[in-house]
Amino acid sequence: MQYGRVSAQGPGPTDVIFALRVPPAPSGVLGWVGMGARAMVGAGVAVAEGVVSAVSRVVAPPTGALLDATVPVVSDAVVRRLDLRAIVTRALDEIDLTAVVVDRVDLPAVINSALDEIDLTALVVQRVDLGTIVGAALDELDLTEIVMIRTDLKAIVTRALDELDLTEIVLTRADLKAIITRALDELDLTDIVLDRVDLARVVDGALDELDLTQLVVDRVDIDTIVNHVDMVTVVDKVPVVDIANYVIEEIDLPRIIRSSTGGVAADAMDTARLQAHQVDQVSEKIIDRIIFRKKRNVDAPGDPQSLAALAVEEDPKP
Amino acid sequence: MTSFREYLDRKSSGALDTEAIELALPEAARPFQGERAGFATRVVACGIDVAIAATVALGAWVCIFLVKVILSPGTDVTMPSFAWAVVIAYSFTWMYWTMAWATTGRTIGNWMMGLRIIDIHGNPVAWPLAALRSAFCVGFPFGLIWVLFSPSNRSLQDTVLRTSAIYDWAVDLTGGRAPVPPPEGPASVAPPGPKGASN
Repeated sequence: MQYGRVSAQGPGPTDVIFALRVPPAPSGVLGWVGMGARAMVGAGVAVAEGVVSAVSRVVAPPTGALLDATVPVVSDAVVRRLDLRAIVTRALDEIDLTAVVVDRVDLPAVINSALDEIDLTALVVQRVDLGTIVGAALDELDLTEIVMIRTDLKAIVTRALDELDLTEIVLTRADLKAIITRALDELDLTDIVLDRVDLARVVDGALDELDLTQLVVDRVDIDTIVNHVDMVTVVDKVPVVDIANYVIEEIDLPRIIRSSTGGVAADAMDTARLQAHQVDQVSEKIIDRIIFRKKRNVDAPGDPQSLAALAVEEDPKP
Repeated sequence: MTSFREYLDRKSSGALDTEAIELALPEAARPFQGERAGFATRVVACGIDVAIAATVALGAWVCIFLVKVILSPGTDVTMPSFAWAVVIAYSFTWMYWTMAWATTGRTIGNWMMGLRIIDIHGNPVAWPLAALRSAFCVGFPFGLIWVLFSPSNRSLQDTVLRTSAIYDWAVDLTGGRAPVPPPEGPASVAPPGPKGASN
């Protein structure tokens, strides 16, 4: 930076100090052109200062007042006559502002100062169309792939599960009915159950837990069921004759009939037989005493018909 | 109480046939079934048979007289000699006993007194043996007295012919089917009473 002073004679402040930035030595054609432009601007400024200085000398001593009256007019005229836009555009074309800023500006300090002053969050929320940005970003990115590659899903999920009460979250935030309905629409539950569930184990477990008899007694209207049963068919399947014979045997009907009717003759015959047997035994004892015999061998070969069938009935099973 | 299932099991095994035998056989008579019968019982049975034979012989004797009267009307018909009645009685008794012992092993007298005639093996006597024993009994009825003195309750006929008259009250209500032996294991358990398995 080069500093200069333009002094004017007369009362009041007559010195004009100006600073002229002196760029480093140009490099290349563009550098020389830029330098020329800057020299032209500097020359314009110097001419303006020279004019001011000359006028100040000519019209002094009321130079100060005169300058106060004329300089703004002249400046405006000069400014109007200069194509400042073109000059600035040209200058900007010539100057690598980025490099200048990078070289000359203490960017961290500037940025920190700016950030201190600005509420970035509010600014972003207010000025940025986040939806569009995020949508575009999501369109461009494969989030799944990124997450799979870059994140420790296990740790994240574990941490999340430790932190969260999933049950409470699901109960409070999820439309369980809709989820379940959708899931049931999508899934073939029957196939899933048949393929994946050990039905025998499940049923056994359920039956172990339940008192089916009590359940049926409590919940089933057996009378209604029986009313719907075709009893004729049931009776056709019942061994009525066997049941009748069973009842006859259990109540001992033959013995009842025998004792009430024809049993009189049979009982008389049995009595006669028993008495005859007793006479046999008495007579045998008498004779055996007479002839001093201890005991007779009355066993006969074979089985009597009266006991053969009974022997079958009473044979113990092996 | 027997359950219905147990009843059906017994029925399928044929054990229910014994029910009728149980009904026909009083508990007090079971212990001596199969033993050789004593003198009194056999005398009563024999007496019944003789009475039957005498009745039949007398009826036959009367029938002969009536036939002669019918065939010779108006003539003087004399009664046949009593010897005919005796012959008829003996002949009838011989045939009757032979047929009864060779078939069922029981005469009517035997049946009434609960007796059955068996051979040395415990089987019903064969026709020749039955005929021989019948003839022996008809010809020498006093051989029955030997039952009193025999150490094994045998009559003289039994001793000679190796037969036996045993107590066997119930008739064969199983239709002659042989007892079904148990499938495996030791020999059949003896029926109740002192009479054991065959000796």
